[in-house]
Order: sequence, then structure tokens, then C-alpha cells
Amino acid sequence: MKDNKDIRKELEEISPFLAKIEKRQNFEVPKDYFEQLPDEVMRRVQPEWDSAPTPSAAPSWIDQLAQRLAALLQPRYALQLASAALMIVAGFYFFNISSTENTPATGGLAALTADEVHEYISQNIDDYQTDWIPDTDMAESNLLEEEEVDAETEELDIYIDEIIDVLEDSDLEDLL
Amino acid sequence: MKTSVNDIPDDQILALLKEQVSYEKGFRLLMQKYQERLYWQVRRMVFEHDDANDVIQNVFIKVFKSINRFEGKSSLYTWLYRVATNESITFLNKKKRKTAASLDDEEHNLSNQLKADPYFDGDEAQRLLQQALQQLPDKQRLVFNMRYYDELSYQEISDILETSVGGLKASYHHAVKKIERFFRGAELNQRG
Repeated sequence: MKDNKDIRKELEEISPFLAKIEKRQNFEVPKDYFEQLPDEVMRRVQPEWDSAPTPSAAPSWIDQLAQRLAALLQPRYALQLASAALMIVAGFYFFNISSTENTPATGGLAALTADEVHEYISQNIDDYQTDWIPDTDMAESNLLEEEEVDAETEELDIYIDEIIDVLEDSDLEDLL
Repeated sequence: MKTSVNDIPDDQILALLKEQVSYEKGFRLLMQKYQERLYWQVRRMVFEHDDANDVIQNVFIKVFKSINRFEGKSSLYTWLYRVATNESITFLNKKKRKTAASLDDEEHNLSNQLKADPYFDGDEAQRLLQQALQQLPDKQRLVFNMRYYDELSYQEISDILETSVGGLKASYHHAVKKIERFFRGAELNQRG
């Protein structure tokens, strides 16, 4: 009450004229406005009612997790999150492809039989470039076969030499 | 003796707002306790009932969403008053941008608005006072309303507006002087 008197006294000092004007509430409101206002506000906040905030109640870890996920799914974060996820997937795909190219194709080819492989190569030999061949398992197997062939040739040569030594000149003339 | 909602302590309301199960009851009590004081504060800033109704509903929706940010550093009323003040200023700024683009001075004349307003019940002096108030800058009018109508102390106004007491005293003094000059000018016009 002392403060109200001070306010009045202050106004009289600043403007005696204004202090003489009656202070009154000139505005009115529609009938029952204040009785209806809380219901009107509640109607507007109803859609958010399920997520009503609780000031000091400690949320469970599930609620906290859900809140953080909800925050991450806000438009401003969702775009960044989607971009990051896309980059991770693209990166994974890229490195996976690269490593596949550098890894010997043992899985699928192992199931093929040697006949199937040879048949495929003989049918598609024109598609191969010579500089590819040393890098493949098939090239290794071919080289092994060549080595075996070379070994057989040497043995044949020795065998032929031995036969020649044994044979008589007359026998050779007959053979030729 | 019947207990009025105004007799319910803020602590009791805030305790209800802390629990989900009692949140609606607490929020309704908060609105019932403060709606009239906040409404009149807003109404004196925006003048028309429809505008005040929009603003006060937005105020309570904001309070509903952000009551968990109330830390109890000031009184609940001070905090609510601050929310209502900010909403009123935001509304007025938006309205000014709209009216500057679409309405001419005659349509925007408060005297005509008050004459046409079914919810304004004042004599010529009161009508002039409202016109004079509309001439004030928003923040000066806000300080005048808080001091003249709401009879708040400078310290309370300072807590709400987060402005120095010295600055508030100067604002109120200038506002009163401008209103007086407005009346004098109107008086001269009537004589002339």
C-alpha cells in the first residue's frame, strides 16, 4: 500500500494534470471469456499433451534415449545425419568393391570343375590380354602344366637317346 | 469459507506441474490464477480484444511448452509477465510490418478503432489517454502501463524487463510528460 501511495505521489510530482484523471479500466471482455479461456488453451495444446513436459521428474534412460533420437530427427539434424549415413554407406561400398577387385576370386571359381574352366577359357580366349594372365590362378595352373609337359619332353629325349644308342645302324635305316 | 484460486500458493501449482499425472490440473490452476492479470497487461499493449486473445493464448501455449525451463530464480508471476511482455512486443512488431504495407493512416487511427470497439467503455478523457498511449514507443508504453496500471515497483519492473531501475524511472518520466503534452495539444485543437 505504501508503494501505491509512492506511485501516486510520483505521478503528482511529474504531471499534476495527469494525476487528476481518473484511473480506470476502460476495456471489457466478452461474457464468460475468462471461464472459457483455459478450455480453449487446453484444446490447442491437446495434440502435444502426450509429450507434456515434467519439470523435475527424472526421465528414465529410455525416455532420454527417445528424446535424443527425437532431437536428431529434427529437420536441421536429420539432413546432416542422412548425409553422414549416405557417405558412410558410399565409403563402405567403395572400399568393399576395391578390396574385392584386389582379392583372388577363390570363392566362386573354386566351385567350378577344371573342365568347365578350360571350356570357358577356350571359348573366350580372344577376350584375354596376355598381361592379365600372370595375375590369375588359371595362369599359374597353365604354367604348371607347361612345366609338366617340359619335364615329359626331357624324359622322352633321354629315352630316345638311350634307344638310339641300343639300336643298330641297320635298324635305324629301316625305321627311317 | 471458499478458497479462491488466487489463494493457492505458487509452490503448490509448481509441485503439480512436476508430475505428469497432475500436470493438467496444475496448468489449469496456473491459468486460472494469472490469466486476468496477464490478459489486461497484454490488452493494454495491443488494445483490441481479438489481438489480446490471440496473444494470451500464445503466451499460455509457450508456458505449457517451457514451464520446465522455469528455474525459480524469480517469482512465477515475474516469469509469466516476462513471457507475456515478449509475446506482446513480438505481436506488435509483426502487426506494424503488416499495417505499414496494407493500411492507411485513417484505417489505422486508434480513435476510430476505439469508437468502433464494442469492448471499449470510456469517456473522452479515457479515449484521449489511450490515444496518447498509442503514440508512445512500445517499450515506453510498457513501462508506463506497469507503473501506472499494474502499480509495480521499479525493482519488480526491472526484474521483468531486465533493465536498470534508473533507466526505468527515466522512461516513465518521459512517458508521463509525452501523455500530458498530447492532452494539451488535443485541448488546443478543440479550442482552435
